[in-house]
Amino acid sequence: MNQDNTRPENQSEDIIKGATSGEYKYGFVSDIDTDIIPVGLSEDVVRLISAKKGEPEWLLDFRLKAYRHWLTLEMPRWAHLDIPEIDFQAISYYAEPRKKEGPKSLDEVDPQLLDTFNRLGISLEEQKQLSGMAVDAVLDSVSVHTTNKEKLAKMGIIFCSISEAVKDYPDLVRKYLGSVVSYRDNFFAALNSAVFSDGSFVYIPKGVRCPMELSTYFRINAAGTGQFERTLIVADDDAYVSYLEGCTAPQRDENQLHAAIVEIVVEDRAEVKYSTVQNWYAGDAEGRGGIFNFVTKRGLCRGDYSKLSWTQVETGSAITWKYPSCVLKGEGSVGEFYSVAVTNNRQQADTGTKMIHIGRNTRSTIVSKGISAGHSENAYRGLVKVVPAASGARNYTQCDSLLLSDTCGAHTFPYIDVQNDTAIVEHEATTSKISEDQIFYCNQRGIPTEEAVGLIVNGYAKEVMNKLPMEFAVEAQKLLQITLENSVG
Amino acid sequence: MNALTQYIELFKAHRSTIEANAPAALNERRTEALDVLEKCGRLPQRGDEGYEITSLNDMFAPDYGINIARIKFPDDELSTFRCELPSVTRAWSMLVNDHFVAAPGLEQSLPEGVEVMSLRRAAELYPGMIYGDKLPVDNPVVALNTLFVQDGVFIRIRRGVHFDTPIQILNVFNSATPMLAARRIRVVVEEGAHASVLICEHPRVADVDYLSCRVVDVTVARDAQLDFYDLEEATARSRRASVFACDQHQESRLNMSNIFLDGGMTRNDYCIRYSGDHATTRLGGLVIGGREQSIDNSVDIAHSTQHCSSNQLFKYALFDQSKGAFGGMVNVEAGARYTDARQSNRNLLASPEARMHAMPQLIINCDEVKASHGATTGQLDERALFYMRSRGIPEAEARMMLINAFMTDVLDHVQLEPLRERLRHLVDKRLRGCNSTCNTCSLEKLK
Repeated sequence: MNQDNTRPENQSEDIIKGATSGEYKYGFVSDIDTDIIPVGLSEDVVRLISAKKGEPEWLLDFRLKAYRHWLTLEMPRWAHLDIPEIDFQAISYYAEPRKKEGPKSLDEVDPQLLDTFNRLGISLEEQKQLSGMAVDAVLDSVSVHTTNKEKLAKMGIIFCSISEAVKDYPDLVRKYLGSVVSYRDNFFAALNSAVFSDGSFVYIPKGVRCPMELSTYFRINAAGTGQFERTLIVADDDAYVSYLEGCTAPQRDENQLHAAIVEIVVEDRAEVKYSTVQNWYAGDAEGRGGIFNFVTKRGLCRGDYSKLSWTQVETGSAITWKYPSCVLKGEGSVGEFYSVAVTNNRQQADTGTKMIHIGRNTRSTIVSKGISAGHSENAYRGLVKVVPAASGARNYTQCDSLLLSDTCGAHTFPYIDVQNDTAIVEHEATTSKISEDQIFYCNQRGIPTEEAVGLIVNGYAKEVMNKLPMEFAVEAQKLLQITLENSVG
Repeated sequence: MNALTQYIELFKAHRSTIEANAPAALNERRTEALDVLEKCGRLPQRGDEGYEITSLNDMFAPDYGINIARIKFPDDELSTFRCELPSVTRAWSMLVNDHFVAAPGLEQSLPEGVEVMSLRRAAELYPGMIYGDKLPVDNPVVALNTLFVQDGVFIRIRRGVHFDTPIQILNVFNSATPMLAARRIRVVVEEGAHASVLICEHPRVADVDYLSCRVVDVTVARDAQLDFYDLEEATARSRRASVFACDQHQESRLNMSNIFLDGGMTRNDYCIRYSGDHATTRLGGLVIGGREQSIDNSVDIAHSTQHCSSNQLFKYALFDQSKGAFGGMVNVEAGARYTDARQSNRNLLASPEARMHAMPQLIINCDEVKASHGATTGQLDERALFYMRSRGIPEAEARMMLINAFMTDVLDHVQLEPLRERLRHLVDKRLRGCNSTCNTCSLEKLK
């Protein structure tokens, strides 16, 4: 062995320590002129947001109802998270990149904004021209640009920002908004319903198979603001869509709040695939700064034989509180949840899913892979509920945890509630560290420890990574590497 | 309605009577328990985390009498009572409500170094030993029990003594009016000793409401072993809130099995704590639920020391409108290296209205551990049934055989062969719907 090398166990400790020192490469701030409303939340602020967006009366009503309900709620504390007190009056609830009259084409978009997206690795231009992917980019609170809209429009697909949708398709939005996640659902859902600024709206008409991946990039840019986007996806009978969502934020000392809602409605025989690569700024090694990511995501498989699949790669955020769920109402509907959650440094994550089986012969699969390093806390929390009517329901849950340091935590909190005697529900979970045998085996075959750790972690997450669309899989793999940098090489 | 207030008020009003009828060592902790309860404000209700099907508030709400003046019951129990587990042992005693009654010749049947006596007497003889170090005093059931406890059973196995015969305690309920019994069972197994304890629960009267508020407080010292069997065979009108707390020292071994055959509403908490390395814990649970029974087992194991292993296996077969819940919390604290924690919960729903709620949970704060859990809920394998029927076994019999097979590995945990066989027989009898207290049960349908 090389003399410079320390003993193998020290070496692997170093490597694992190295994992905690991976730097956040998306932490730049874009210097874009932004229109921020003063901090604080009141009925006036809600009215102001609504007015700024020129919304119809019914939407303002919806917001006000949500706001009034929010006032009666308390911040949930049940998760295995140590959430500092959040002063909801110290946040600005609306930040809009200031621009002249709305850009008519990409050339008119603020060049710095374009640069931001180029640095994120999503060149809107390139995406537009080469990959054939339609991208909607949401910077702070407002949707900046949607590509490939025309092409989609020819097929009857609506893909636009939710504020546009409110103007152009008020009936559709009104019909579906809040139908899956009501404003009474929880604290953050109420907050979002009151102050949501923008987000994406997707409608796939009957029988249409969306020919390209639809994608949204979210980025919080301005300091002291929160991002409250709202995504609404409706897949009508026999439709299919694959939707991607990516998130980043600049490096800042203070915590920023992100409280989003994603609602999905899946009708008869339709299928929606929703993939997320979440890479909000996670704070520095001492846990300063970072995003609080409190998200409510839920899909309603309303139609018979409909299918909803959630895939998420969670690497960012100081605190993650997120449970993408499926309500399986239609007969034979299918819900899937594939997740890789990586926590490092002082990150905390309490994430998982809910599968509510209501219809007959509904099926769900949950595969959750947690990787914790540094001083982080990573928890899986999931509910599988089978109501009395859901005969023949079937669920399989697997959640594994990998521990990369002796100071981190990996927790599992499954809730299994079965009220039907023909249902079959299985849950299994394991927790372990990377076994020395595996590392030894790799070393023996000439693979350095560093690469071996990378190999094993990638192999461990493979089952989920395979579910991501191609474009995202590459990025997700990269993210995993950055998060566990130096150990993966 | 807040059930807790009535108990606090009752205690405050009758504290002098309660304390006058109990030894000083049992009175010592009542103030502390009162503090805990006043801080709680209310008892856990359905919907609280960990109380998915059981509301302690509802369980304690009815107006139960408590025999705080210790009025004596006629002593005819010994002569008339027949336990379902006859002649397993001669070393038995009874708790009639919460009165300790020794079997005739109990002392002669015990070897030197094995003591079974009333908690009252132990409180006078060994006042320093009647509380375990790891008793979860802030558990509301423990606190309520501490508030009203006046008697119970004390078992002590002295250092190095091996006593193979199980020590049996029959919990008997006998009262004409609704009643709450605050029972406490304290077991001390000293260094290198080895013992087994069998507790069974039987009511004498089936038509009276009855609440058993029970605390089993166990210390297993270094290199000692305790096999503990808890058999519940009560009536539809009985309620039970029980806490089993165990403090395990270095290299100690605990083997605990809980068998629920009949009852009304049951909540069992298991609280396992470690005071030394290399301890082993094995928890088994078998539940056969029928009618409108509600059976709730909640395990809380905190691994704080190194090289310990815990293994849980809980199996439920639920019939009729019965409800089952299993909560299993394994907490591996930072520094509890080389822990091996396993947990398994398997449930069979045998009727359309039965319901099961499982929450197997892991909290891991240490990387040198092996931890796993598994939970399944389902029904009998149709193919297995078909296979058996195609070979001429009637459907009901086939079902019975499969359920028996399903339950068998929990019973395998029972170390003593005669006891194991006896328990198998009882389980079989129960599945055929012909146990002593239950003859109207729809398990009859299986026949």
